[in-house]
Order: sequence, then structure tokens, then C-alpha cells
Amino acid sequence: MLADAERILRRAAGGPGGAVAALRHDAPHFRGLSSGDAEQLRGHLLAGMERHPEARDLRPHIAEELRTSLSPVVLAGAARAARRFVPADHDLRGLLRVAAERIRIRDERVTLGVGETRTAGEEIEATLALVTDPPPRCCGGPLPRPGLDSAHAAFDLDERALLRARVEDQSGRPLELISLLRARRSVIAFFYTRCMNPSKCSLAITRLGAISRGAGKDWNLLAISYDGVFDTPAQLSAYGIERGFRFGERSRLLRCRAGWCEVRRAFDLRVGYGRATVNEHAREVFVVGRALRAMAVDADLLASCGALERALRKVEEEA
Amino acid sequence: MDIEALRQQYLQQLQTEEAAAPPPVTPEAVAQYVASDGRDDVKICQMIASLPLDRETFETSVRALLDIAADKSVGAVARLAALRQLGSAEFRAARFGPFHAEYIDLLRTLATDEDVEVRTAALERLTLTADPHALKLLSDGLQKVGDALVPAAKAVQLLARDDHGSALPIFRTLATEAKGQVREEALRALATDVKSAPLFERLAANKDEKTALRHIAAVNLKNISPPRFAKVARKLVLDENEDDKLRAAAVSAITHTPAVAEKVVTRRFATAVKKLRATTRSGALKSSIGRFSKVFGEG
Amino acid sequence: MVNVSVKFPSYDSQGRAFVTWRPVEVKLTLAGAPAGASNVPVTVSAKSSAGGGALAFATTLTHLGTPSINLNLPANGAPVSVWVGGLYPKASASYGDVVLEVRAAAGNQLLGSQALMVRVRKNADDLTAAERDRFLSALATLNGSGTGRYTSFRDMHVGGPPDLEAHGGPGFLPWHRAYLLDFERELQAIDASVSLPYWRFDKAAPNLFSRAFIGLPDSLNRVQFSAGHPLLGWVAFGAAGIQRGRGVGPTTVPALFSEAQTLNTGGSLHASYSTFRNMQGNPHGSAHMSHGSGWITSPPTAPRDPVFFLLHCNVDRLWAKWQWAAKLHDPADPRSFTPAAGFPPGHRLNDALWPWCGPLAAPRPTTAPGGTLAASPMTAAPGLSPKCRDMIDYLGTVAAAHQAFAYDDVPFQK
Repeated sequence: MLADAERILRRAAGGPGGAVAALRHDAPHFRGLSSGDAEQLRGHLLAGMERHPEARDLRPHIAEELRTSLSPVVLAGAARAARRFVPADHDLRGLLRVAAERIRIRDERVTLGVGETRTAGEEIEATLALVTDPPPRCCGGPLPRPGLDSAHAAFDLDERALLRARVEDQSGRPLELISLLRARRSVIAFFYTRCMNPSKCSLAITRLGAISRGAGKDWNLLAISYDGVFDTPAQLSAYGIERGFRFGERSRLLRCRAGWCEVRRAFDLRVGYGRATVNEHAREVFVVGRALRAMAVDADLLASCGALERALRKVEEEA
Repeated sequence: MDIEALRQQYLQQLQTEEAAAPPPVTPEAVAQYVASDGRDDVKICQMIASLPLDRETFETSVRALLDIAADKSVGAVARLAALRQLGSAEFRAARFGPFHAEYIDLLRTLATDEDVEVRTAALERLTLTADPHALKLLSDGLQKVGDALVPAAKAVQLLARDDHGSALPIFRTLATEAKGQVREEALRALATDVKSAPLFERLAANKDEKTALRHIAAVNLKNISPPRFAKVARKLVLDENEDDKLRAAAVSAITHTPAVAEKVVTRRFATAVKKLRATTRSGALKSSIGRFSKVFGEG
Repeated sequence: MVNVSVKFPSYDSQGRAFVTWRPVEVKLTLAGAPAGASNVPVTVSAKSSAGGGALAFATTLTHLGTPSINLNLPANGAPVSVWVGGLYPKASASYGDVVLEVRAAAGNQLLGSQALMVRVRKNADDLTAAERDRFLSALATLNGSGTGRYTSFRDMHVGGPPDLEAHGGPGFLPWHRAYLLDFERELQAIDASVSLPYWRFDKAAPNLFSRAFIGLPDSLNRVQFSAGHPLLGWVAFGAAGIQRGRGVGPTTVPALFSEAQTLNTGGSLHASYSTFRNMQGNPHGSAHMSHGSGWITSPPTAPRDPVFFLLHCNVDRLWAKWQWAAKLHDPADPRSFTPAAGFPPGHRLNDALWPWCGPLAAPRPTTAPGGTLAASPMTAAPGLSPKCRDMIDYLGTVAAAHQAFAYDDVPFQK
């Protein structure tokens, strides 16, 4: 695994996205793997980043894993990679503490190098030990707040591609995705009902549910399944109801009946597939203007209607 | 009834029963006995069952249990008892946390133990949390690139616990080509495989197949596509030449699955089912129809 | 025509009344008395079917009720209170197998009546076939093939942060009491005459561990049911069916702490909750592991097996029994629950219980499957978002409100 990871990183380093591109969930080396194997590889890739000469834009990847992952090997790898950023980064320290707490009752020993065996918790503690500054907040304190990250550049959705996308909502009603998007501004989250990590899809739909229950929004709230074959209208409906999602003309859970590949490409989705279903995915939320100008936003923005409104305004202005 | 007298009587009864029960043992006593000459596996099992796993002795108990489970000089029956009690301790998640990594390591080692029961117990436990190490051992065994640590049917069952796994192509092959329990387990393992819906439909309707296999296929179909199952279920129920057990299961599934009921249950269907109740000699079918009638009336 | 209206404090949507051992205040009102008539003496009693429930009556909230009571009902129609509860230990087997009757003391004429049910949680091994079948049918409907409301119960009891909420400290028992109550109320929304039965895991349970009830595993640990059984289509996680080890059969007495060993220590009752809660390991964990293998043996997968709910019902019964034996129902008494210091959030007396309190900030769980606690038409307690403290006095021994559940062998004692 270690040799595989090094080879993948070397190859990716020569590409346009740099070595960090190897961490994309839709990268070819993750294709067909089980979730467990994909996590093993991701953990090793992250660990390999610790000493890799080129690691542009690595920090958001580490932060996201520390924020959401339940996998000991991924967290151990993220802790290794985080050593590039100590001792100065206080936010990362907070995330490391939260990750250590999350793994505390289900820690496992992982081997990220020849003859090096530590538990994920020990890897995180070893990284924390490198930070000499006093901690700015304790482990129960607030995490860094999400903002409108300037790294998320707006882009135009491929209209011709989206014209081929036929979707169906939780009640089984067939719809054209492009018509939904043109009707009004939209917040779109991607998810799937079999997701095993409650900090990802379940949380996203719970947060969308909270927004759907509020009044006065003139946007669409849409969540589109990564797994449209399995996520039937009945599955979508049950999943939404369980998370307090109030369905309506502007609030729907959707699955693609046709044109999923086009949707994936149009949004440049970071989702990978194993033999059975999704094996890994990023948390992906977009704001889309009526002119089909779109922007990826931090998934934690779903916790704030105000921030979403600002993001929607920004993307409309850019259009 | 005098409730206070009852309470006093109960307190007395507790005292008597507690005195008669084997006293709790300390982890130190267990460890000492295991290290002694002439130890007896049955006695070790009894001592393990009497470990209190309480606040005061939790850590030393878990330590002793990990040592016994890892000790190959101890009989398999006692090591299995230690593993079971470690499982009990795991239910105190916060206290067990510091031991978790060592416990998983131990289970991974025991997954290739010489004793098949110990191996199976370790693999059983590891696959509950989709441990990649255990899944690889099982997959290798099934594909004959490694030792078969458990029988093939068991391996399929345990591999299928990972619904994000990579064994789906193996299951698809075994569901059509294997025989007996292996085929049954492979079919169960395809429960969420939407692409296998045509296979489920074929099997569920095929009277030449075993009833057990047809039942698995029908339940899988209900799981992934209630509308497709509804068509199959209607035929099963109304076909007088069908297996009564299968018909009973179909009636039961219609009764308890609203998404199926809304496609199947019409006044005509309910009347036909009512007639069936009067004519069938199958007790299972009668009782299934009884439950159906309570929910949907009798036509 | 003189008659008496019988008004229970709560009815369900079909006008049915349910009680436990804990009495509720019923209002009796005389109507149709001639002008100027004097008070009418009446006798309030219960008419029970064979094997049905029985009632106890008193003029105050007490465990000292009697099978009948004489009252004077004012002719002017002013209501009179009578406290009505189940007469311990005679519980109902079906709705309406006991009827409250108000008869004229003179002449024994029936003036008013109300059919009801003394609905309590019973030993699963002692259920009648009809009780068993009603429970299984409701369970199968709630399961609904793995989608819908059942999945939230599965998703509450999983690994990671939820595991710490459920098992991470002294909140273990209050958390599971709320969880079971939520589950039972969902079953009762399907069939109000159902209550959650318990698996008395320190005894053999041949009726429970049978193909007709909770099923028996085959050599591959696949649970087998009799033909037409409602749980044949059980889907808890992807694949259909239940995986359970063969550790417990019809005659098995699991090797774990008995009721006496759980409630007592060193010859006397546990003096406080802080030591009683040791039962989380043995017998609770041991009961899970008594099956040897399968879903039930691991915290994140245990709720996929329906026997899980019966197992935990017995864990809760043991707590209830200890509370009764030790007379510790008052949340304000430090012996009834571990004091606050030194435990994580969710495990202190005044902490809100997740997920009923809604999504929380990390490291507590950030999602809340299932939303608030299911409501009961019989009581407002413990509220939709209970705290640890709300789950202690479930019978309303100290508090004014009860939670509309009780156990067949744990009486109410004021």
C-alpha cells in the first residue's frame, strides 16, 4: 500500500492539480475499491504528503478529514500530513483535538510506513505534541467557522449537458433539472442514503431540513443522490422525513433517471464508486444562479441561511 | 395486596438468592488460576462468567480477559469465553476505549487461529464493523488465493456484512452457479443489488427452485423494488398450485409493507384472499390471512 | 334517567383509555337526577373477563387502592374524583378485558361504565399467543422493510458519537429508557394494545426463543421463523433477515448475573445508582454476548435484531425494580442518580438527551435521527425532548406526571 501511494503521488505531482489531485475521491486509483480499501489508500496518500516535496492546497483536505472522517487510517494519515503545518496553525490544532475525541472509543493500530505501527489516536497526539504554542481553545470549544472561501471560484454549468439530465423527486414526480435551476436560485447538496458517515450526508440533509422548515426563502433547496439506482423515491422520502426535511415545490430530494454522468461532469463532483455503491465522496454543496452560474461552497454553510444568501447573491452578481 | 410487605419479602428473597449464587470473582483470581498448574477450562469459563466488569475492576478484568484470549496454551472453550466477556466489556464504550486498538489487533490475530471456532468468533466480530483485514482474509479464502478460514457459505455471509464492499461480482456469480447454502447466502448478499432484480423475479417465480431460495429472492425484490415485488406477490398469493409457505410469506409481506400493499390490495384481491382463507388447509396461510384481514378488512 | 359519566384524564383517538399500576384521577359526574334530589351513593368496581386486568380504586393517589369503593355523587352534577389504577399484579391481555363500572349502591343498577386496559410490559415468555401476535405484527409494520421510522431507532444506536451518548457513562440507563419508550410509543401508534415485552435473560425462555416468536438461528446463524411469521420479511440493514448466534436456545439459562446479583451487592441492595449502574457490563453486556455472535453482540449493530428491544426492556425493568426496592424515584435524591461531576455531556442529571433534543455541536452528535420523542395520548410526560432527570421517576411516584408504562412485576408504591 505504501509503495502504491508513493507511486500515485509521484504521478499526480506532474499533473495540473499537483500531488493533492491524488486525494480526489473520483481519481482513477479509487475506482472499484471497497470503502474500506479506499480509506486505506487515502490514509497512505495523506501520510505520504507529510514529506512530499509538492503539496499545494493540501490544508483543506486535511481539515476536512479531521472534521468528518471516522476511519482510523484516514485520521492517522491526516495527522501525519498535518505536520507540514505545525507549529503555527491553531485551527488545525482544534480539529486535531476533535478528531482525537472522535476516535477515542474506536481507535485502531495502523501501519503507515515500514515497521511503524501506532494507533490513530497516537498519531494525532504525536502531531499535537509538535505544536508548542498554548492551545487557543479547548477541545470542546468552537471550531473554525466556515466562510465564503475565495478558493471556490464561480463557474458556468454546462447547459447542454444538463439538458440531458432527467430527475425524479421523492414523490416519484419526473422533472427536468435545468428547468428547476432556471426557475429560481438554488442551493444543491449531493448525498446518498446509504452513506455511513453521519457527519456527511445525514448532517447535510438534516441541515437542509432545518432550512426547509424556515420561511421566506426564495431559493430551491435540492439534494441530489449520488446513488440514483438504489435511492428510489421511497428511500428518498423516508430519508428526508427522518431528518425533518419539509418537502415542497422548492424543497426536494432528487435522483437522476438519465444524464447522471453529465451532472457529475457539470459540477465536477468528487465522488468515487466501488463495486456496490459510492465508496468515498467529499461533502459537496453548490449555490447556483438562474443564469446557471454556480459556485461550490463549504458544506458547513448549510448551517447558516445568511451565509447561503450571501453566497447566492455573490454568484448571481458574478453572472 | 400489601405492596410494602411484598417489597420486604422481595428484599429478603434477593438476599437469599444472592447468597446462593456463585460469588463474583476478581480478575486477579482469574489470572492466578489460569497461571496455575492443573487448571481446568470449565472452571476458567465459570470464573470468567462471574467477573463483575464493574467500575472498580473494569480495567484489570479487561486486561485479564485479553491475556486469556491471546494465550494459545489455554483451551479454545476458555478463550472463547474470554472473547465473549470482552464483547460484554465493549458495551461500556468509554471505559473500553483505551483497550479497543489492542482488542482489534488481537481479533485480527485470532482470525487465523488454529481453532476454527476461535477463528470464526474473531471473524464474526471483526466483520460486524467491516474490518478490512478480516474482509480480505475471507475474500482471499473464497477466491482460493488464501486459506479458507471458514466454510464458503459462512465466508459469503460475513463478507456481505460490508455493504460498501467489493465482493458483489463474486456474489453474483455464486448466486447463479453455486449450490446449497453457498447459493442461498450469495443470494442474500445481493439484497441491495438493483441490477439483480431480474434474477430475483425469475427465481421467485420459478417453481422448480427450492422454496427457501425463492423466498430469499422475493424478499430481496421487495427490498429494492416494492412495485416489482407487488406483481410477483400477487401471482404467488393467487396461484392455487403455489407452495403454501411462500404464499403465506407473500401475504405477510403485503400486510406489513405499505408500498407493496398500495399496489396489490384492491377489493377484488381482498375478496380472493378471504376465499383462500376458507379453503386452504395451511395453518400458516390462514394466520397470515388473518393478520391481512385485520389490516385491510375482508373484501 | 340517572346516569354517571366516567371521564378519564386521557383517551386515545378512538376514545380508549389505558392505565398501568399507577393510578390516574378519574372524574365521575352524576347526570339526570331529579331536581332537589339528594346525593346518590354509588359503588365503583371493575368487571374483569377471565385472565383480564383488574382495577384498584382510592380517593387519593396511593398504592393502597381497593377493588371497589363507595362514593356519594352530588345530585347537582359536581364531579367527584376517584383514583383508578391496575390492581397489582393483574394486568390485561387485551383491550376491554376489564370494565370500570359505577353502580347504584341501592339496587345495583349500572349507572356508567368505561372499558379499558391495564397495559403493562410483560415477560415475553408469558405472553398469550394473541399478545405475542399483536406485538409481532406491530413490530413488522414498524420495520416496514427497513425504511421509515424503524431506521431512526437503528441509527440512534450506532458507533461514534452516538455510542458515547448511549453507553458513555451513567446516562446509559436513562438514555435507553427514553429510547425504549420512544420505540414502544411507535408500536402503540400502530396497535395501542401492544406494550414492549421483556426477555428475562437470567432464566430459560422457551416460548420466546421459538420459531413462532423471536426465531431460532440455524447452523449459519440465520434466524428461522415459522411459516407466515410477520418477521419473515425483516430488513434492518441491506440484506433481509436476522443474523444471531446460537448461544441462546429454548432451554438456555445464560451465564450472567441473576436479578439478585444485579440488585444486591455484598448481601444488601445497592445503596445508590452509582454502584447499581455497574450492571451495564454484567448482566447487560453479558446478555448481548450470551448469543455468542451476530448483530446483537456489537453496540452499533444490535438494534438490527428485534431481540435487542426485549433485552433492553429487561435491563430497564431491573432498574425499575431496583428503584422500587430501594424506594429511589426522586431525581433530587443523589442516591437515585450519579451526581453531575466528572461525566461527559449527556450523562449529567440536567443534560438533555440526544437525539430527542435535536442535533448538537461536535463532539456530541450533529444529526438527530427520528426527531423528538414520540408523543403518547395517555400522558404528556416526559416531554418531547427529555433530560436525564425526566427518565428517573417514570411512574410519577414523586412527580405529578407518569409516563404510561410499567412492568408486570414492579408495583407502584407511593
